[in-house]
Amino acid sequence: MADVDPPSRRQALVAVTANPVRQAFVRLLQDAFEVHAFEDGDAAWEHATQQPVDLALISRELRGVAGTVLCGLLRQSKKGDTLGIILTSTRYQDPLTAASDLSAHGADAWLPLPAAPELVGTRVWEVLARREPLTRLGLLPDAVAEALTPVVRDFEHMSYFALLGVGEDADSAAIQQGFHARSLILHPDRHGRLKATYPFVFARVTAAYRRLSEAYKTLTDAQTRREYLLAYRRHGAVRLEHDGRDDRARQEVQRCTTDAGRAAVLEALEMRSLGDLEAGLEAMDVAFAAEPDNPDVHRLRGAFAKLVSVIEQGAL
Amino acid sequence: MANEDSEYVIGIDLGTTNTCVAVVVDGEVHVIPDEEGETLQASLVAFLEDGSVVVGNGARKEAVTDPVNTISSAKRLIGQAWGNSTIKQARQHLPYKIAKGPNQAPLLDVRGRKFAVPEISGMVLRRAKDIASRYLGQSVTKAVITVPANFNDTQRQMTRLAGELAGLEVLRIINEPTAAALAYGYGRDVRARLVIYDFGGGTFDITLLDVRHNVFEVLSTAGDSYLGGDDFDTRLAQYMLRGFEKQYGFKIDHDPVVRGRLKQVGEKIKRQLSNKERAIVNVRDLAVAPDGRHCDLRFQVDRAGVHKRFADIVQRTFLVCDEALANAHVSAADVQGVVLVGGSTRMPLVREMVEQYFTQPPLTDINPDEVVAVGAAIQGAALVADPFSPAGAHQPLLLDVTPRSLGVEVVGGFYDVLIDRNTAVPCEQTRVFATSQDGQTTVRLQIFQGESRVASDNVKLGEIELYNLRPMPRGMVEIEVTFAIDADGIVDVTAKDRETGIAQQTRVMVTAGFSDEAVRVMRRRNQ
Repeated sequence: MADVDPPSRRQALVAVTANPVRQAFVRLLQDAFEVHAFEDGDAAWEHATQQPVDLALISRELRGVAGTVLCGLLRQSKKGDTLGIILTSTRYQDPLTAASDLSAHGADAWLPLPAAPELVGTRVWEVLARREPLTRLGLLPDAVAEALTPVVRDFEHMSYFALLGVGEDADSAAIQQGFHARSLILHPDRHGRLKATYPFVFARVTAAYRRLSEAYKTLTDAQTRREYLLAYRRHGAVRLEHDGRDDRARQEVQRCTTDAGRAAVLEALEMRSLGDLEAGLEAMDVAFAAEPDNPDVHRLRGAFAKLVSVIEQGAL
Repeated sequence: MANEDSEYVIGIDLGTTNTCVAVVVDGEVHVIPDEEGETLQASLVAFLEDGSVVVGNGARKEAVTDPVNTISSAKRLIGQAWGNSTIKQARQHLPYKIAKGPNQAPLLDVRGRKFAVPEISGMVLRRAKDIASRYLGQSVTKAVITVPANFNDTQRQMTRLAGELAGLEVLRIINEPTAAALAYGYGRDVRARLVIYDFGGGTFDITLLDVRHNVFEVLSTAGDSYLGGDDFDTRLAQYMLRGFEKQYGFKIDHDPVVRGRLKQVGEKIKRQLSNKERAIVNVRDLAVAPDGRHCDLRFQVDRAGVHKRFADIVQRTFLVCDEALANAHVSAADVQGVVLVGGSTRMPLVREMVEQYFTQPPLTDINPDEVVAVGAAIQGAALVADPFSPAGAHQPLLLDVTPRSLGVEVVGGFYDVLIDRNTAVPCEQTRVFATSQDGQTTVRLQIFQGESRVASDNVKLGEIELYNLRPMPRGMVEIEVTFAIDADGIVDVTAKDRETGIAQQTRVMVTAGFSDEAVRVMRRRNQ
């Protein structure tokens, strides 16, 4: 199951030293790509600088320029963003190291060998679905394809604000407008033709839409928007991860009746999770000042005060 | 605007009592009539003594004369698990036999043959398909089928299966109120916050939407799947049974033929009272007295008296409205239009109470019996159109939501919500589950849909088993499970080992569902 050929032939670069492996890749790819195979990293890089390439299959055990280095070079090059790179190896590699290798050197996928031809095919199309500019498919009007391409490529790393196309201080009307505008180009229902002819790209569009839905849900609820802003500004998180503690924290925050109180309690719990109990107590003092009659705030502040005094006395 | 291969997508409103089918031809929506010119088909399947099967309006006679062998209101049973309260109630009120099948699925037992509920609904859908094919002069294969907004995952899956058994490619399962909104907004450039008040034969749904030009965004939806026009008919039938008892001195409650007749009479009376102040009940030869007399039932009812008895049923709909509005943080006065859908909204009582609640007269310029099929047809056309071409630019986009929260059971029998209700679909959520014992090779998750904090109070969708895990010390194996809900509102679960990134093998056991083998048998039987 492959994606259909786009108007012009795709160029593939195979940089693998071991002969049988390299030849196997050439055989697998030659139907859908014009394949340029090299057993040496320097020759591969030389070719890439002269001719643009859409897909690169690189072995970690490459002779000459090391596989991971070639990865990085290709990624940094002029059209590096639109090039799909798969790192491969016949030697066993620890999965966690493989994952960090990928992000460190800019590869898109890891292909441990030996691998069934179907798996190779799947990896190739998945990677291309991510990287290839949608304008190449000739299916969508240019304006839509250009707007969609960065989202399809990078939605996993985009903040909720960027996904919706709004600023951090956007009000609910702007967020809704952003959601509608993005939905008109990103919703899977709008891409029936993509679904029929480019299923891998369609899968990515659907995944991107699910993230958009998550973004909208998070930012339209005042509580989750607060939590997201906190995580985003403090830790640079682009996604609101679910944490068991979140539910308890949410309950505490919900017991407040003023915005100032809620913000302060959220801050206090964040400080506690970072281990800074004194800052947490300061925040609880602010909460208490905002809601002196709230018994839950009173109780929570008492809990913080007790923890702080216990630490000061060295009892913990 | 026909698409490349001139293939039509029909929209089917598969109702509890009636089914309606529509199609878009060259930008215009046609509600499709049968050979007799009828646009509504009864959702009935009658199994005759000679072995033949009659589907639709032709089965109306059998529904009265032979209710034990005529399947009605199958929609109340589809996707329900044996042993739950709906099935228990149905077994008391419905005249045909309902038996327990494998995997908690109910089976319909007629003339010695057992059918799964999707097979029966599939027959009704096949009739709709044939009617459409005849009208269009070509074979129809693609359809959009509607379900109540409140239908859970199993009910949707079984409806989809029914469509496939009818020989249809089901492009989408769409919510009835959303379809109605589409029908309402089609061709008008609407910019408003709308409520769809859908009071049909078996269920009540309310959906709140923001419509902006061609984007239809559902804000929230709520429903009561045990509340419908049927309830009025049943109550009238009860009223008539009491009247009979008072008149003749003996009870006839236990006879299913009598109850079936009185329910049909009740429905007729209810409809008559929507247009007239008074109606006459005249049931000839309803029952035979112990002394051999043939007893008729005759009396007069007036609208005011009957409506007084119905008010509490209608009031229940407003509890559901409160819930939907509260979920969206919207008040009844913020709503800019109320669209009525479903035959029960023809009752003046319902219209009065709706006007009171929303402080505005409801919009009634659409046919409440056909609007859902019309909306489904519009969505069907939109799904095969190219929205980025100049001709397709006006195509509507539906942003629907999942109506119920999705969650898993956790320690203590509590319920951990994964995806909140009213989240825009498609959507997903990922959670990490770890082993709790050394060397554990399987992890079992019980999946539910509902809002109660206690897991068992919700509807159990099924069990997911992650098996062949790497045997490791407890807590060392972490599985990332992704729960996704697609645009149909159907749940899909995938899992992968967090460390290796390798897809995790899963086995899904759907409660009240059918095994692959059972489905294969059904497909062959319904060819």
